[in-house]
Amino acid sequence: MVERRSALEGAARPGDFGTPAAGGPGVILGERRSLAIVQVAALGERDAAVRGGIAAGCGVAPAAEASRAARGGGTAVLWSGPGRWLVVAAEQPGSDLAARLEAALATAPAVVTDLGHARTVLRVSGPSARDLLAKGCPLDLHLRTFPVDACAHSLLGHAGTLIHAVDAVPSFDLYLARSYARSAWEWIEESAAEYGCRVVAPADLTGSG
Amino acid sequence: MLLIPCPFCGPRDQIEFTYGGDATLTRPDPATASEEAWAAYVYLRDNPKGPHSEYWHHHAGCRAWIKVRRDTLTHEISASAAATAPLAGEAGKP
Repeated sequence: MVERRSALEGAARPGDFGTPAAGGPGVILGERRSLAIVQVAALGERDAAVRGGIAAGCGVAPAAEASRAARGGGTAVLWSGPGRWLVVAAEQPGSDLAARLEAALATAPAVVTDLGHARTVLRVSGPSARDLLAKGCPLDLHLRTFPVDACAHSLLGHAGTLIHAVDAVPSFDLYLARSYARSAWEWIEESAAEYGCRVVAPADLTGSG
Repeated sequence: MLLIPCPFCGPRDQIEFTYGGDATLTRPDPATASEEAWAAYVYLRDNPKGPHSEYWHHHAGCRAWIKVRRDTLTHEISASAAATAPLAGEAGKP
């Protein structure tokens, strides 16, 4: 198998940066690697037939509402538009998520696209994570309007980003087009300096669904 | 700055959208339309004062084309819908 090379090679260096508050760094930042990311898009507003296929293919049914993620068993199904979802799971040898979804959706009005190599996923966490994202994102990320497992496509410093609220720490997963990843990374590092930013190694973020 | 109610995502900041033009036009029938009808469809626009139906593309969000009724005088937005659906109080296109 071809070895995948991170778009952040040379840019992401673990360590503490900026000026941390007394309680420690306000932002924890890292790249989530080794993820299988597959987009499933329903054709012609025929969502119902596709939802069942996604559930059969990956074990998790998409959330009933828009702008919501469903998670289970290390797999996440993120809403990314009307009739369109991203299915995300840790890559496992001998288990091809895209192939499983394609098989489950073989007769459904759906398009299955493997985006694993086209996205870079960042995890931004910590008490100041929300303040940091507010600097470059027009969404209201307050827990009241953006609770755990809310997900939405928006902008982060001019780069289109799918944002998923992972837990109430708060932690957010940011799905970026690979070619924007380095720019976004630098924007985040600079914007997080005032809160203190701890960059963690990708290995510390595996398997946390 | 507008807060545009996307029918799929809810209220979102204007910077997530691209303006897509007049939504009241109907494309002429290619089989029968005259050159004048095409020219009018492509180039001629009213400049209404008041409520106006227009297309917006939620390019940074759900990427859907939507239809919005916006008051060109006050910027008040009174309705929105998917691009293929009629706005509230509007007859659907055939």
